[in-house]
Amino acid sequence: MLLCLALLGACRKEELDVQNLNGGEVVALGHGGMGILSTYPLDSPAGLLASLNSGGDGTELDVQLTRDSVLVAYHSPDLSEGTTMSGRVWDHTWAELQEARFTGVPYTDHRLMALEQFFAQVDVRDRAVSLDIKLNPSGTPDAVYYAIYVNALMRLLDHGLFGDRLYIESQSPEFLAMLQARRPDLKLFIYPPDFGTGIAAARSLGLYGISIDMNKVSAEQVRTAHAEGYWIAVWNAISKADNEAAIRLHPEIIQTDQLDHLVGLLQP
Amino acid sequence: MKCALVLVLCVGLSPAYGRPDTLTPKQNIIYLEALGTGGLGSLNYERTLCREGLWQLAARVGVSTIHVRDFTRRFNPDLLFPLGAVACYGGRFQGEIAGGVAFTSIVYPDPENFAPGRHGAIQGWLAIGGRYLDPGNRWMLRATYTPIIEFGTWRHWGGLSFGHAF
Repeated sequence: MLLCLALLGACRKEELDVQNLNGGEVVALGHGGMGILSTYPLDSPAGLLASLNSGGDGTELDVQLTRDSVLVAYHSPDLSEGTTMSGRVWDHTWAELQEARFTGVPYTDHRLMALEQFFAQVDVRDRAVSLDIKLNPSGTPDAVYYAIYVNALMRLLDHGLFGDRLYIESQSPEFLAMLQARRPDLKLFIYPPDFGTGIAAARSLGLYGISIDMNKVSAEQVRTAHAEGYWIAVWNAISKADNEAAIRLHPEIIQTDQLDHLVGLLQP
Repeated sequence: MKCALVLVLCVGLSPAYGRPDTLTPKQNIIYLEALGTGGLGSLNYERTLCREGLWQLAARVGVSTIHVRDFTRRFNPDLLFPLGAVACYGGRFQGEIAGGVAFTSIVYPDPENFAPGRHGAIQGWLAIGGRYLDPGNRWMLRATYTPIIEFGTWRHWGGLSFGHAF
């Protein structure tokens, strides 16, 4: 019996022997706080705080811009998909959005949050935070919209509220290039539709890494990225089995919907 | 939700619905409700207050929670107490209509400093559906459409219950 237990332990240890560019350490982040299965709404202050208090490294959150240039945490393209309001975040001012209530569990009254207000109160300077920049169609020319968005991000970053484990991811190489021009020190990740597109953008722009659906990348491709010095963040780890599969990809960052489980897996 | 509505209709439209039978009515039922008036689920006690023919009027009180630990991971449970009045008609198969309020005390981040703060509210709920009592009159199955009137808006909701009569 003791031999079996010892062998089981050895197998698990081997399984978790991660080879990555972060010294074998995996950064465990909650997806939008505590993930899509949580009773806390995605990107709600309570969900993000639960993630930050989980024993994990930090949290990922989705960022959108209001009409009056306030950065708010919200995931979906339309407010009607998760709140009592409708329309795009870009269609509203922050004052208007403060009326929105997340529609999750009955009887609850979770509200949207402005990033600047949240991070001014919640110290994350020693935590890992990944900002997923959502550039939903705005109806405004991209160059103008991106410039407004970059300015809003610069204002947020200028407050010094984040430490050196701030990661910023976007689907748009153009947006990342604009950010990079303003702040070359930022750890920027391309969020591509597939690995090939991602590594091409990373090479072209000299990005920090690639943030990709764990089902669209192989361990071999991760090794290729590592050989060129790019970090890999994987997401879409919805189940406990996904967490284990994500670890076997040897990424630097896992954004999970099962944060407590992942933290347990990664504990020495 | 669709399944719950189908079950409600099946019970409510059953040929046995409303048929007099020889059940000896029990005064009390304790039951677990999945979803329903407690939100995610609740433990409830119902006591019959009066009977008139196949009609009966009861009062119910429940308790529920959403999180036992708050977002700082400390023990600090959300508390929900759905209570209300229930009118039933029938014998072994009963149609039910009910309404009441839910007193809620839920922990949220304070909008200014994001520390945990407890907020109380009173919301409303309605229930319409059916229930079935087993031939021994000891067990109850219940399916209801349970709209919740929260913060002035109407939320479609439903519940399935299983309980013990005594």
